[in-house]
Amino acid sequence: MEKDTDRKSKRIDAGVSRGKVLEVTVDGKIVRAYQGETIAAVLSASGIRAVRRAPQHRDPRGVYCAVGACHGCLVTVNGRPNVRACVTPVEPGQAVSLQDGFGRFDGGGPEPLPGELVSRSVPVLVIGGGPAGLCAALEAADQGAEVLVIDENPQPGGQIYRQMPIPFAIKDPDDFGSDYTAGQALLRRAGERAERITIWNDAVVWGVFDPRQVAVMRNDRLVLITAHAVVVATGAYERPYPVNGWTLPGVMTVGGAQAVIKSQRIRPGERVLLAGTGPLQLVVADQMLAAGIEVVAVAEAAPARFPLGRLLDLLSRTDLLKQGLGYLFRLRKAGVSLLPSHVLKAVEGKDGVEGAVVCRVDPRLHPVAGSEKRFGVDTVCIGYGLIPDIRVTRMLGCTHAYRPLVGGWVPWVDETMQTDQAGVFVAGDGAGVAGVLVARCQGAIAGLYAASHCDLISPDQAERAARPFRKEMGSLLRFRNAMDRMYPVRPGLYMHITDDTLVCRCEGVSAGEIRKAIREGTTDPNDIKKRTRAGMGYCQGMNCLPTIAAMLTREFGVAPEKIPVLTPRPPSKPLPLNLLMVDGGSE
Amino acid sequence: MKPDVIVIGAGVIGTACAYFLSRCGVKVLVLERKHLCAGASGATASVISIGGTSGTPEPLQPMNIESYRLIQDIEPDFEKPLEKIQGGSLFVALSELETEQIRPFYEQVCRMGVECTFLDGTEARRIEPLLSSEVVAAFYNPASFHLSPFRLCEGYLSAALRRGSRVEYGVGVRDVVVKNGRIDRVVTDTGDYSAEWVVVAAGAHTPQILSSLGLPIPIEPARGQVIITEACARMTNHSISFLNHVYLKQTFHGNFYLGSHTEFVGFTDGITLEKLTAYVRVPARAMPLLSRLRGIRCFAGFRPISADNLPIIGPVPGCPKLIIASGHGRTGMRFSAGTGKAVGGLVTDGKAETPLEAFAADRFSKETGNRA
Repeated sequence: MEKDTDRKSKRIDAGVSRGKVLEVTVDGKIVRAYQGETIAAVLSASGIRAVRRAPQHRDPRGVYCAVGACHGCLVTVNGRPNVRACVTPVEPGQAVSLQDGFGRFDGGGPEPLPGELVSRSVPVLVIGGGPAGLCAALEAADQGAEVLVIDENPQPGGQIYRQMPIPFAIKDPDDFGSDYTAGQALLRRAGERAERITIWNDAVVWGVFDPRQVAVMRNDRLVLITAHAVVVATGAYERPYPVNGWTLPGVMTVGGAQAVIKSQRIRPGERVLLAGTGPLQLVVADQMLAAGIEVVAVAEAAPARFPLGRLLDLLSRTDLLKQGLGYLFRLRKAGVSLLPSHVLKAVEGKDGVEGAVVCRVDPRLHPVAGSEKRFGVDTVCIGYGLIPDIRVTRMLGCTHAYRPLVGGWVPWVDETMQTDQAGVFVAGDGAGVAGVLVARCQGAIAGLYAASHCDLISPDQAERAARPFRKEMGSLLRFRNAMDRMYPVRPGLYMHITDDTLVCRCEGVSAGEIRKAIREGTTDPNDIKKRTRAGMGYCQGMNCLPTIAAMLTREFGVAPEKIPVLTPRPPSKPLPLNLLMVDGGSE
Repeated sequence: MKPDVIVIGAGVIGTACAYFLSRCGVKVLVLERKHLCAGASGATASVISIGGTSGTPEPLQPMNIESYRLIQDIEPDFEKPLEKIQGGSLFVALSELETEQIRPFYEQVCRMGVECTFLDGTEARRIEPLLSSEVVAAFYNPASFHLSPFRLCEGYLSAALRRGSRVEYGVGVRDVVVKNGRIDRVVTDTGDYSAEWVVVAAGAHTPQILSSLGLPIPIEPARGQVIITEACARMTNHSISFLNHVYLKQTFHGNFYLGSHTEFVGFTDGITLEKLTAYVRVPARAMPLLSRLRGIRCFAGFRPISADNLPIIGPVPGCPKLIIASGHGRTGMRFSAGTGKAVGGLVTDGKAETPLEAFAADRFSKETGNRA
């Protein structure tokens, strides 16, 4: 094993003082950590990339999504197995052990206590404390509504406004860019409205039961919330893009890598290749350079050709255009290989990433023979766009439509952001991926109309108050639409999936098994799941169904909008069974 | 090519019928509204035993014994293993009252010639150390095993396809039109089909499909709800059941499976918190370790429960080539092979080896239905 001195510290010290030093053990060895760090950050800082070996094929896995969605980084903590290292903070004396195969639940210790079931009713319930949710909460509260915001993370902010752990002291907030300061300002405003806005952190919506009771798990409680108006602001998650080797430790989503840098102040690697499409990978590559990481190459699926036809749309937001050109300028200056019309073909390595292969594609996304380039890197970031998280809107019974340009299936909404379920509003990337600025506008509009739905203001008053947000959104959407057309994600992209490529990370199901099931006559993901187990794991298909849909379209000619989505069922997130051991149910 | 037999439904009964028919050289076309085991067959613990846990009515006993053997005999004919977990079943009692309630089931299974034992709490914990002190008695049937319902259905179906049968998914059957005692056509959402024989194995949907016959087919859907936990290292090989049809097992892949099928709510789909809590609380009292696990998915399915708790297996009166094979209640997996074989016999020989009188389709139209 590498000695500590051989390696540059993974911790980024610029701009921040970490919390108190503490000690944890990893497989019995004492490891230094700082209060506020996650177990994943501590493992990474101590040189451990292979966090576990997956049960089905005993292949090594690392931190992939880094935000608690993929359940790839499970470790055993104080005898409790299958704990997500990426979202679990360290505590003094914690005993972390790495899992080889399945976790063991017979490790002794007391059984968890039965949960408690409580009911609550609120005028406005906001699900998700990111930019859209917080803006909705603020506008509704400004109109006199009492608002409850449910958020999964220890602090609100969502992905883009992700905050640093509370024990970390920030020397100069301006070091962390405009998103960081904008997020802080929004959180401060929500904090100032504490008499009307209650925020539940570490709270997870896991189900919806008749009659429209939203089930939340929080601490050791199940809370059933009845709300007059619900604003769903659950955001989006990263589109899986499987190639051989994408399950190796060292492969991360681009957003995951960003979260690790921004929030945990950890370098995800030393030498990085980013592959994907769209501006996010430029943003992250720029942040990596600032963090002292060597960015070797950025492979962009879209061609370099400047789209003259969209010039006018792009000029509608010169601020955003300038920002983007700034990233490109800095990356070029730092000697980063910018590879337009290139996609990731494979990741190489044994126990972790050792290299990445990209290849050129023609405008119709056909690979160009002989165009492969290999880069020696230790980290690969994958960023082929985002997918709206519609689990809650589906459980709420909203009608959805297929809109590929904004990420796939999205809830149908009217101009007030209301779905076809009266009193259910959506805002932000969960309503169609459009970025933080649009999310804020949509959140504000949804919040105003939620207040109107509660009869606190008239629809006319809501409309007048919504006007400035609509105006702002108009130019943003024009810009965004041009960008989406420049960086489309099409099923054609999924060209490098061989029969050996793992498609379902949770259950270790390969593309070959899925193709066989399809050839045996099924094009329904519900059926493919039963035959292959793809989609049966912790993430319940988030990280394989989009790929299966793309394979059905690309390889078997099934129209994407004709592919059924999985039946929405609770729990949408893993639910500790002790919470269900409440009194009241009948056999 | 016109099939010899159309089988309606790709659940365990439909696929088993297709399998046994195809083994006799019959060309089958399976028509399925949704996909493989999309109904009750997709939401079941699939415990295969002689006797079951909650009793086996006498007329079903011969078929139970035959079916139990057949399922094991035909496994080598399947492409993929059935993911069997062989460990026996325990029907546990959590109180003295429950002890007396489960004892008759034990006695009935003994009378079927199955070697099983009635244990007190301590003995039960010796066999299954994960059981808590709340378990005061258990009826242990060591020859029971459980398997993957998907693999069983897939096994039946792919072996049938290998022998020249076909399947069409996304074909919802609306009606079977009978003229002059013969099958005229099968009307579906996507057009008409025809065959000399039709086997209706549509579970709880069978009455609806055959409504134009005017024949009373009293099969009601019983909604079941199931919760699946995260997978973990193997902890038990037993399937464990409780009163009110609540059960648990740890699947081949390590997930625990908890649930029951008891609600008569029509075809109202959905998961209710009331049942979820009930189906967790009882098993977790008996096996406290379950409280450490997390649930990752729930689902619902509809069991076809007939008025007398016996399946309907046999021709429709007045139309000898229209066969019903439905209404197996909570026992479809267990009786699938026996049913498939009987239907195979009806089509190819005009009779089945197993007596089918008690399952006749016309028994509900007679003045005095023979209640089991």
